[in-house]
Amino acid sequence: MTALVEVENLVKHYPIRSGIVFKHDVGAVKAVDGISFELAAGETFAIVGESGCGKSTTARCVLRLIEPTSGTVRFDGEDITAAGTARLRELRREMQMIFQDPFASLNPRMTVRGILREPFRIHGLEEDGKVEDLLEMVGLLPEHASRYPHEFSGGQRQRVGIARAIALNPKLIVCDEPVSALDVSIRAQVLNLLEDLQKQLGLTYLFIAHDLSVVRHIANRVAVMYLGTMVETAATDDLFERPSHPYTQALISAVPVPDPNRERSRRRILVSGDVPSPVNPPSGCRFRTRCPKFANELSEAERQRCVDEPPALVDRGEGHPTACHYSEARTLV
Amino acid sequence: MTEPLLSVEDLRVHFHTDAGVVKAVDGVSWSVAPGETLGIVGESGSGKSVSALAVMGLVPVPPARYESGRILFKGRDLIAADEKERRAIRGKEISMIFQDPLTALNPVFRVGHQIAEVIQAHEKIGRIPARAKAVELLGEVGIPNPRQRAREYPHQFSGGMRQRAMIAMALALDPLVLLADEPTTALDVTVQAQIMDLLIRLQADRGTAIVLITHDLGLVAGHADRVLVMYAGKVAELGTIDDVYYRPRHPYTLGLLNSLARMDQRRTDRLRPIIGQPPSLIRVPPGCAFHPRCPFATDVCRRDVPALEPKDGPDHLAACHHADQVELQQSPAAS
Amino acid sequence: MTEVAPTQSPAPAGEITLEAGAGGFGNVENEATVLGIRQQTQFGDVRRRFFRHKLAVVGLVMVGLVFLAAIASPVIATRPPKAQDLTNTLQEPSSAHWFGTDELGRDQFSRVIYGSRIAVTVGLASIILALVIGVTLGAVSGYLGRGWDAVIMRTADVFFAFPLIIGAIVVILVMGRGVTPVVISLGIFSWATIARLLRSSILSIREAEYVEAARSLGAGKWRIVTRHVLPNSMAPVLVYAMVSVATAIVAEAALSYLGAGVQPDVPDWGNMISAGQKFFGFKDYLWFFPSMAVVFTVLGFIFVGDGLRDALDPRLR
Repeated sequence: MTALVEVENLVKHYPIRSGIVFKHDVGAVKAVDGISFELAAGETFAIVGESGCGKSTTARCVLRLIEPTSGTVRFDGEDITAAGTARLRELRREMQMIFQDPFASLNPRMTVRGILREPFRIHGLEEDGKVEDLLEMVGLLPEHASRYPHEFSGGQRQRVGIARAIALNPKLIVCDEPVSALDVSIRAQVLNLLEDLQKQLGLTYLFIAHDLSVVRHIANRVAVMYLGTMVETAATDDLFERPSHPYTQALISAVPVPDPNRERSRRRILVSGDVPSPVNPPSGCRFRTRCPKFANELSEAERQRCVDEPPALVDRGEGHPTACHYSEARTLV
Repeated sequence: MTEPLLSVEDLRVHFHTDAGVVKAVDGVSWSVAPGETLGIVGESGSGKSVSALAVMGLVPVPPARYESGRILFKGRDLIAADEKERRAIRGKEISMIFQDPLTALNPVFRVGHQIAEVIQAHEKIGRIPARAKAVELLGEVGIPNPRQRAREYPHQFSGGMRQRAMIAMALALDPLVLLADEPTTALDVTVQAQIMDLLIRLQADRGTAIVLITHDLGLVAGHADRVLVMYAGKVAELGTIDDVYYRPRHPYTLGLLNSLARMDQRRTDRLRPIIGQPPSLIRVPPGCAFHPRCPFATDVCRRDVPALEPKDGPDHLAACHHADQVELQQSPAAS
Repeated sequence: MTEVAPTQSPAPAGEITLEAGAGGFGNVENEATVLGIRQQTQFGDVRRRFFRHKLAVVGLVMVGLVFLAAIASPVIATRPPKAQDLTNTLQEPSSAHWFGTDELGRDQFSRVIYGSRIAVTVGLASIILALVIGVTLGAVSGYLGRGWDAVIMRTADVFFAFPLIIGAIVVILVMGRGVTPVVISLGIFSWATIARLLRSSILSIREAEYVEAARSLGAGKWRIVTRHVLPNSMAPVLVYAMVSVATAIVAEAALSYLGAGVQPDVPDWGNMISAGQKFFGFKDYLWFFPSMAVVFTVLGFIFVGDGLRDALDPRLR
């Protein structure tokens, strides 16, 4: 397996500035705090986590829509964090993005034709007939080209967004919650379309989501993020069948499944409280303030380790890496 | 099943707009008994929230018009009742929580003050005891340091905490019925689990009837006793969760279950989506509203609106001309 | 056993469109009607909402009449505006002189008609000038931000602090009277609000996902500003500009009235009001008709601006 994208020790801190005339930094929002992962060509790699965990920031750093504070992102072996403006522009042809909100991601004053022509215009490419081809590829009709975004339903708009992302025949597409704004019956249509296009065009997906059901269906591998760090990563079925980090376990157990009998027999692992502020994350393990294992199962001495020592993301015998000193695989679904 | 506490009978709420008549609720009936949870599921634009809003008197008239129907609470019709009687019931005996707690909480007043105000509006109670009760309620819904938090403003609360505060406010008067409109949609899944856990415990303690309105079929499977499936302003199917999930008799229900990605199973195949798009409530297709998307549709579906009739047993209703064919289908939940 | 969804196995590429095409998007027109989707274009949409606004249509007719008067003055006016007739001075309105004559026997109706030329020219030209300055500086300030923003906005504050008329009089004292000085002085004292409006509009638009989408496609700053940011942030500016035309026309009349506008012999509403003022109380028609002309024109632009605001307001969509 060849890596298309290699992310190493990615950090994104947003400084908090204070003062009116003399601005000075008084702290930083540690949105992403040192994560590493690889994407193999042709696979779907999902990053899941709850709001504020840093998954969207990670996605944007990979595309360099946000400048990372430190760390490297290599695309096809090239460090794109070092690429200059001109080179970055060329690289944009290779990597694209599908956005969450189909109502906000299309310019309301441009027709679908204008929107789909734009990638070609920007890069000075031949565009004859391309718009119609793209529309067909995403299951829309050539007649749709002359319409404006507001004339479409959410699912159709998302198809336009997908068409724009595949226009330049990229290798990588970052999908940022591509179906979470869509209705249940439309969601399946769009997920199937994404899969078909992946097969047809040999795309690699970095899939950002909070919906674990969607992730289990579409991803080959999954990483779980919590408060700017990666807590567990594994092949999809492995992660869902043998979750080993207490946060992953809580996350999986919290997702309801549409099966009454199964719901009646399931065990919920409740975490307490809210996510701490990313400005002052807890020392040691960031999850310890909400961790049910920390609260209920560990001895005082064991807890001290969670407070003092940030757990590394390594395999502790569960067959995949977890960032928990006391990780232990459980069956939850 | 015990005697229903709140029932909606043949309710029709139509909105008269410039673009046409929006039949948001078009002949919907449901009921909920003490201690029971009724799930109402549907996609956006299915009208799933409107009947609950009508119960609370929160549907603006005009543009809305009640074309027909009754809303019976303990045998009294809330639509026909006078304003004073309605006000005594709404908020006190029936209360509602919403998706976005910020819209329900006033940003310029302290949380504790707002809850105390609700109590004082309905009960003869002094300011000090009302405040004390508010603090007690905040503690009951799992807000740490309730005494201190009661003195804070809504924006100082996190999303989950706000939802808890809104639940505290809704429960302040010990209502018999709680209408929950997408109560956890804006929240993260671990927080959703906390909130649902809270609602279940409160229900067990107080015997509250809950109407849970959501688009999440998983949430309903885990927390409801019966479920009402809405499509284009009408009831598609109504029954116990086991009947509806394991023996769906409406193609829309079946289609929804089929199209879901499942977290609890290994992937077997592509998803099986429902084709097409949900209709606009202004132009609902003639006959069965689902027919343009339905694999079972025949001429009769294009012509006649199917009646909501008992299938299998008296408590499992479906509005489909071909319900007996749907039964033949393997429901994916029955695994 | 019949299948519910038409596609149940991994479909070959060609089938994708079939699945969506046959069911979801097959019959476009039919589906659009089923969905209640509006089929007009964006412009058509704005136009439809504008014309539904009755006052806006009235305003449009009023503005249209003023423009007609300005363009076709020689045809409409019954006499040359500067022609004196000392045998017929200070005539009350009659069938020969609809608005009467002044102390030099000039036909007031013709002068009111010709006056519309100055009003329209000054109103439009000064606001176009304000737009050019305001949009450029507002766009730089909003999109480039940082140092540019601080400098431009503080400069705008200075211009903002000057009352329009006082500022204009100062400029005219330096440049002398005439149409051009009036246009320039009104223009440079009107751009500040335009720049501010555009800046705040841009600040919200540039965070929009479609702007991010354009960046991810590799679009440069210029393209993002001209194709994505400006078209979506101009609506409030255009509405303000439309109403500002009315303000500028009033200001021009005021300047002329104060003797700081166009030359006194030019047929101009402010000049006419000023000249008619000394006959206040007995020859009231002298100031009444030009005043009405100002009111008529100003109301017209305000009504149009109002309708435009409602038509462009995306919240009503």
